[in-house]
Amino acid sequence: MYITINGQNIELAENTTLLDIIKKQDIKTTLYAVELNMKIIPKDKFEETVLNDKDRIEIVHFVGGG
Amino acid sequence: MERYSRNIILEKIGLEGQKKLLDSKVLVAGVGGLGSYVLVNLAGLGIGNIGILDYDVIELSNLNRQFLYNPSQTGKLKTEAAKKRILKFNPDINIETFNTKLNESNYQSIIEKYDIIVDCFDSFESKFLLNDIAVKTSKTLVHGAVSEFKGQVMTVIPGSSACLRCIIPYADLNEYITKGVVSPIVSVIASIEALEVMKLIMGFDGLLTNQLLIFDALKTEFKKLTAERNTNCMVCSGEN
Repeated sequence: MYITINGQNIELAENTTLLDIIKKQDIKTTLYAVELNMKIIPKDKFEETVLNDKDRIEIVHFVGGG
Repeated sequence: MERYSRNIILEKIGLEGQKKLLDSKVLVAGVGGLGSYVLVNLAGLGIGNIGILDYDVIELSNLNRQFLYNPSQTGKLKTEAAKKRILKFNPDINIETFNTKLNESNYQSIIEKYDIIVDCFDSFESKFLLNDIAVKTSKTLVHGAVSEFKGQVMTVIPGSSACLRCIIPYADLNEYITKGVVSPIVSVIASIEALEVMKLIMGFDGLLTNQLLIFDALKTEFKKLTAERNTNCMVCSGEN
Protein backbone atom coordinates (compact mmCIF):
# COMPACT_ATOMS: atom_id res chain seq x y z
CA MET A 1 0.00 0.00 0.00
CA TYR A 2 1.00 3.61 -0.49
CA ILE A 3 0.60 6.52 1.89
CA THR A 4 1.64 10.18 1.77
CA ILE A 5 3.66 11.67 4.58
CA ASN A 6 4.50 15.38 4.46
CA GLY A 7 3.73 15.39 0.74
CA GLN A 8 5.90 12.39 -0.11
CA ASN A 9 4.50 9.09 -1.35
CA ILE A 10 5.94 6.00 0.30
CA GLU A 11 5.22 2.30 0.08
CA LEU A 12 4.38 0.51 3.33
CA ALA A 13 3.69 -3.05 4.40
CA GLU A 14 0.14 -3.92 5.42
CA ASN A 15 -0.65 -3.43 9.12
CA THR A 16 1.94 -0.68 9.57
CA THR A 17 0.92 1.53 12.49
CA LEU A 18 1.18 5.27 12.85
CA LEU A 19 3.77 4.70 15.58
CA ASP A 20 5.93 2.65 13.18
CA ILE A 21 6.03 5.47 10.67
CA ILE A 22 6.44 8.32 13.18
CA LYS A 23 9.42 6.57 14.80
CA LYS A 24 11.20 6.70 11.45
CA GLN A 25 10.80 10.48 11.14
CA ASP A 26 13.54 12.76 12.36
CA ILE A 27 11.34 14.98 14.54
CA LYS A 28 13.48 17.35 16.56
CA THR A 29 10.74 18.73 18.82
CA THR A 30 8.17 17.45 21.30
CA LEU A 31 5.79 20.23 20.25
CA TYR A 32 4.15 18.60 17.29
CA ALA A 33 0.88 16.96 16.42
CA VAL A 34 0.24 14.28 13.85
CA GLU A 35 -2.56 14.73 11.40
CA LEU A 36 -4.00 11.70 9.64
CA ASN A 37 -6.47 12.56 6.87
CA MET A 38 -7.09 16.02 8.44
CA LYS A 39 -7.67 14.60 11.92
CA ILE A 40 -5.24 15.01 14.81
CA ILE A 41 -4.33 11.68 16.37
CA PRO A 42 -3.29 11.85 20.05
CA LYS A 43 0.18 10.43 20.70
CA ASP A 44 -1.16 7.66 22.92
CA LYS A 45 -3.23 6.40 19.98
CA PHE A 46 -0.33 6.08 17.52
CA GLU A 47 0.27 2.44 18.31
CA GLU A 48 -3.32 1.35 17.83
CA THR A 49 -3.77 3.36 14.62
CA VAL A 50 -3.22 1.02 11.68
CA LEU A 51 -2.57 2.80 8.40
CA ASN A 52 -4.56 2.24 5.24
CA ASP A 53 -3.80 2.64 1.56
CA LYS A 54 -3.89 6.32 0.42
CA ASP A 55 -3.71 7.70 3.95
CA ARG A 56 -2.27 11.19 4.19
CA ILE A 57 -0.12 12.08 7.18
CA GLU A 58 1.30 15.49 8.08
CA ILE A 59 3.49 16.36 11.01
CA VAL A 60 2.21 19.67 12.28
CA HIS A 61 4.62 21.83 14.26
CA PHE A 62 2.94 23.73 17.04
CA VAL A 63 3.99 27.36 17.30
CA GLY A 64 4.20 29.17 20.61
CA GLY A 65 4.86 32.86 20.04
CA GLY A 66 2.54 35.73 20.73
CA MET B 1 -24.38 53.64 20.68
CA GLU B 2 -23.61 55.74 17.59
CA ARG B 3 -20.05 54.40 17.45
CA TYR B 4 -21.42 50.85 17.17
CA SER B 5 -23.96 51.62 14.43
CA ARG B 6 -22.10 49.50 11.84
CA ASN B 7 -22.19 46.57 14.27
CA ILE B 8 -25.84 47.14 15.10
CA ILE B 9 -27.08 47.31 11.51
CA LEU B 10 -25.85 43.77 11.06
CA GLU B 11 -28.93 41.61 11.33
CA LYS B 12 -27.06 38.97 13.29
CA ILE B 13 -25.96 41.51 15.91
CA GLY B 14 -28.58 44.24 16.23
CA LEU B 15 -29.09 46.32 19.39
CA GLU B 16 -29.56 43.25 21.58
CA GLY B 17 -26.35 41.75 20.33
CA GLN B 18 -24.46 44.97 20.91
CA LYS B 19 -25.74 45.02 24.49
CA LYS B 20 -24.42 41.47 24.92
CA LEU B 21 -21.02 42.59 23.68
CA LEU B 22 -21.04 45.60 26.01
CA ASP B 23 -21.95 43.40 28.98
CA SER B 24 -19.25 40.81 28.28
CA LYS B 25 -16.04 40.29 30.24
CA VAL B 26 -12.93 39.19 28.39
CA LEU B 27 -9.37 38.76 29.65
CA VAL B 28 -6.53 39.33 27.19
CA ALA B 29 -3.61 37.27 28.46
CA GLY B 30 -0.48 38.88 27.10
CA VAL B 31 -0.35 42.23 25.38
CA GLY B 32 2.49 41.80 22.94
CA GLY B 33 1.86 41.22 19.24
CA LEU B 34 -1.33 39.14 19.37
CA GLY B 35 -2.61 41.09 22.37
CA SER B 36 -2.19 44.44 20.60
CA TYR B 37 -4.39 43.40 17.68
CA VAL B 38 -6.86 41.44 19.82
CA LEU B 39 -7.35 44.45 22.10
CA VAL B 40 -8.11 46.89 19.33
CA ASN B 41 -10.56 44.44 17.77
CA LEU B 42 -12.32 43.84 21.10
CA ALA B 43 -12.51 47.59 21.74
CA GLY B 44 -13.96 48.09 18.27
CA LEU B 45 -16.56 45.39 18.86
CA GLY B 46 -17.49 47.11 22.10
CA ILE B 47 -16.51 44.40 24.54
CA GLY B 48 -17.51 46.33 27.65
CA ASN B 49 -15.13 44.88 30.22
CA ILE B 50 -11.60 43.96 29.24
CA GLY B 51 -8.79 42.72 31.46
CA ILE B 52 -5.18 43.05 30.33
CA LEU B 53 -2.65 40.71 31.87
CA ASP B 54 1.09 41.13 31.31
CA TYR B 55 4.22 41.84 33.34
CA ASP B 56 6.50 42.90 30.54
CA VAL B 57 7.84 46.31 29.57
CA ILE B 58 8.03 47.81 26.10
CA GLU B 59 11.22 47.19 24.12
CA LEU B 60 12.25 48.62 20.77
CA SER B 61 12.30 45.12 19.25
CA ASN B 62 8.54 44.86 19.95
CA LEU B 63 7.73 47.65 17.54
CA ASN B 64 7.73 45.63 14.31
CA ARG B 65 4.32 44.31 15.38
CA GLN B 66 3.12 45.78 18.69
CA PHE B 67 1.56 48.91 17.27
CA LEU B 68 -0.07 50.05 20.51
CA TYR B 69 3.30 51.36 21.64
CA ASN B 70 5.79 53.93 20.41
CA PRO B 71 9.55 54.38 20.80
CA SER B 72 9.25 56.99 23.56
CA GLN B 73 7.57 54.38 25.78
CA THR B 74 10.42 51.88 26.01
CA GLY B 75 10.83 50.56 29.54
CA LYS B 76 7.21 51.34 30.46
CA LEU B 77 4.69 48.67 31.44
CA LYS B 78 2.80 47.27 28.47
CA THR B 79 -0.46 46.95 30.40
CA GLU B 80 -0.61 50.63 31.30
CA ALA B 81 0.48 51.85 27.87
CA ALA B 82 -2.06 49.56 26.19
CA LYS B 83 -4.87 50.68 28.47
CA LYS B 84 -4.12 54.34 27.77
CA ARG B 85 -4.03 53.80 24.01
CA ILE B 86 -7.17 51.67 23.86
CA LEU B 87 -9.16 54.07 26.06
CA LYS B 88 -8.31 56.87 23.63
CA PHE B 89 -9.83 54.78 20.86
CA ASN B 90 -12.86 53.74 22.91
CA PRO B 91 -13.33 55.67 26.17
CA ASP B 92 -16.66 53.98 26.92
CA ILE B 93 -15.33 50.56 27.91
CA ASN B 94 -13.85 49.40 31.21
CA ILE B 95 -10.28 48.19 31.25
CA GLU B 96 -8.57 46.62 34.23
CA THR B 97 -4.85 45.88 34.21
CA PHE B 98 -2.95 43.09 35.95
CA ASN B 99 0.77 43.82 36.05
CA THR B 100 1.86 40.38 37.08
CA LYS B 101 3.04 37.03 35.79
CA LEU B 102 0.27 34.46 35.89
CA ASN B 103 1.03 31.51 38.13
CA GLU B 104 -0.64 28.73 40.08
CA SER B 105 -1.12 30.89 43.16
CA ASN B 106 -2.49 34.14 41.68
CA TYR B 107 -4.74 32.98 38.86
CA GLN B 108 -8.01 32.83 40.74
CA SER B 109 -8.22 36.52 41.65
CA ILE B 110 -7.38 37.49 38.05
CA ILE B 111 -9.49 35.02 36.10
CA GLU B 112 -12.65 34.88 38.19
CA LYS B 113 -13.96 38.21 36.83
CA TYR B 114 -13.92 37.11 33.21
CA ASP B 115 -15.99 34.76 31.06
CA ILE B 116 -13.56 34.32 28.19
CA ILE B 117 -9.76 34.26 28.16
CA VAL B 118 -7.81 35.09 25.00
CA ASP B 119 -4.39 33.47 24.84
CA CYS B 120 -1.93 36.02 23.53
CA PHE B 121 0.98 34.78 25.63
CA ASP B 122 4.38 34.35 24.05
CA SER B 123 5.77 31.04 25.28
CA PHE B 124 4.74 27.41 25.30
CA GLU B 125 5.11 27.34 29.07
CA SER B 126 2.68 30.21 29.62
CA LYS B 127 0.26 28.95 26.97
CA PHE B 128 -0.02 25.49 28.47
CA LEU B 129 -0.30 26.96 31.99
CA LEU B 130 -3.18 29.13 30.74
CA ASN B 131 -4.83 26.10 29.13
CA ASP B 132 -4.58 24.16 32.39
CA ILE B 133 -5.96 27.09 34.43
CA ALA B 134 -8.82 27.64 31.96
CA VAL B 135 -9.83 23.98 32.25
CA LYS B 136 -9.52 24.06 36.05
CA THR B 137 -11.69 27.18 36.32
CA SER B 138 -14.10 26.19 33.49
CA LYS B 139 -13.38 29.38 31.56
CA THR B 140 -13.58 29.38 27.79
CA LEU B 141 -10.17 29.84 26.21
CA VAL B 142 -9.40 31.16 22.76
CA HIS B 143 -5.89 29.93 22.03
CA GLY B 144 -3.75 31.62 19.42
CA ALA B 145 -0.06 31.45 18.60
CA VAL B 146 2.32 32.73 15.95
CA SER B 147 5.90 32.17 14.88
CA GLU B 148 7.77 33.07 11.74
CA PHE B 149 5.13 32.89 8.97
CA LYS B 150 2.74 30.48 10.70
CA GLY B 151 -0.04 30.65 13.22
CA GLN B 152 -2.74 28.59 14.84
CA VAL B 153 -6.06 29.13 16.63
CA MET B 154 -8.26 26.80 18.66
CA THR B 155 -11.13 27.49 21.04
CA VAL B 156 -11.37 25.39 24.19
CA ILE B 157 -14.66 25.01 26.04
CA PRO B 158 -13.65 23.02 29.11
CA GLY B 159 -15.64 19.85 29.61
CA SER B 160 -17.02 20.06 26.09
CA SER B 161 -14.18 20.37 23.58
CA ALA B 162 -10.55 19.32 23.20
CA CYS B 163 -7.93 21.29 25.12
CA LEU B 164 -4.30 21.89 24.13
CA ARG B 165 -3.15 18.93 26.21
CA CYS B 166 -5.50 16.63 24.30
CA ILE B 167 -3.41 17.43 21.24
CA ILE B 168 0.04 17.74 22.79
CA PRO B 169 0.11 15.86 26.09
CA TYR B 170 3.81 15.51 26.64
CA ALA B 171 5.91 18.44 25.57
CA ASP B 172 9.15 19.96 26.66
CA LEU B 173 7.82 23.43 27.37
CA ASN B 174 11.30 24.88 27.68
CA GLU B 175 11.96 24.25 24.00
CA TYR B 176 11.08 27.80 23.10
CA ILE B 177 13.69 29.66 21.14
CA THR B 178 13.07 33.27 20.15
CA LYS B 179 12.12 33.26 16.51
CA GLY B 180 11.20 36.03 14.17
CA VAL B 181 7.64 36.97 13.32
CA VAL B 182 6.13 39.56 11.02
CA SER B 183 3.24 41.86 11.82
CA PRO B 184 0.75 40.64 9.16
CA ILE B 185 0.73 37.04 10.41
CA VAL B 186 0.20 38.33 13.95
CA SER B 187 -2.76 40.46 12.88
CA VAL B 188 -4.36 37.58 10.93
CA ILE B 189 -4.24 35.22 13.90
CA ALA B 190 -5.27 37.92 16.40
CA SER B 191 -8.25 38.88 14.23
CA ILE B 192 -9.39 35.26 14.11
CA GLU B 193 -9.09 35.10 17.91
CA ALA B 194 -11.22 38.25 18.23
CA LEU B 195 -13.81 36.73 15.86
CA GLU B 196 -13.96 33.65 18.09
CA VAL B 197 -14.67 35.93 21.07
CA MET B 198 -17.46 37.63 19.12
CA LYS B 199 -18.97 34.29 18.08
CA LEU B 200 -18.84 32.97 21.63
CA ILE B 201 -20.62 36.02 23.05
CA MET B 202 -23.19 36.15 20.27
CA GLY B 203 -23.81 32.40 20.32
CA PHE B 204 -22.90 32.04 16.65
CA ASP B 205 -22.00 28.69 15.11
CA GLY B 206 -18.71 28.02 13.38
CA LEU B 207 -16.47 28.09 16.42
CA LEU B 208 -13.03 26.56 16.27
CA THR B 209 -13.89 24.03 18.96
CA ASN B 210 -12.50 20.55 18.35
CA GLN B 211 -10.67 22.11 15.43
CA LEU B 212 -7.16 23.42 15.15
CA LEU B 213 -6.93 26.13 12.51
CA ILE B 214 -3.48 26.41 11.02
CA PHE B 215 -2.42 29.27 8.78
CA ASP B 216 0.67 29.16 6.62
CA ALA B 217 1.22 32.68 5.32
CA LEU B 218 3.88 31.73 2.77
CA LYS B 219 1.52 29.26 1.11
CA THR B 220 -1.53 31.47 1.88
CA GLU B 221 -3.12 28.27 3.12
CA PHE B 222 -5.62 27.72 5.93
CA LYS B 223 -6.08 24.19 7.23
CA LYS B 224 -8.73 23.12 9.70
CA LEU B 225 -7.76 19.92 11.46
CA THR B 226 -10.23 17.92 13.51
CA ALA B 227 -9.20 17.40 17.13
CA GLU B 228 -11.11 15.26 19.57
CA ARG B 229 -11.13 15.27 23.33
CA ASN B 230 -8.66 12.69 24.52
CA THR B 231 -10.28 10.43 27.10
CA ASN B 232 -6.84 10.06 28.67
CA CYS B 233 -6.07 13.81 28.70
CA MET B 234 -4.01 14.66 31.78
CA VAL B 235 -5.83 17.98 32.16
CA CYS B 236 -9.40 17.80 30.91
CA SER B 237 -10.41 14.13 30.99
CA GLY B 238 -12.12 14.55 34.39
CA GLU B 239 -14.09 17.64 33.29
CA ASN B 240 -17.70 17.31 32.20
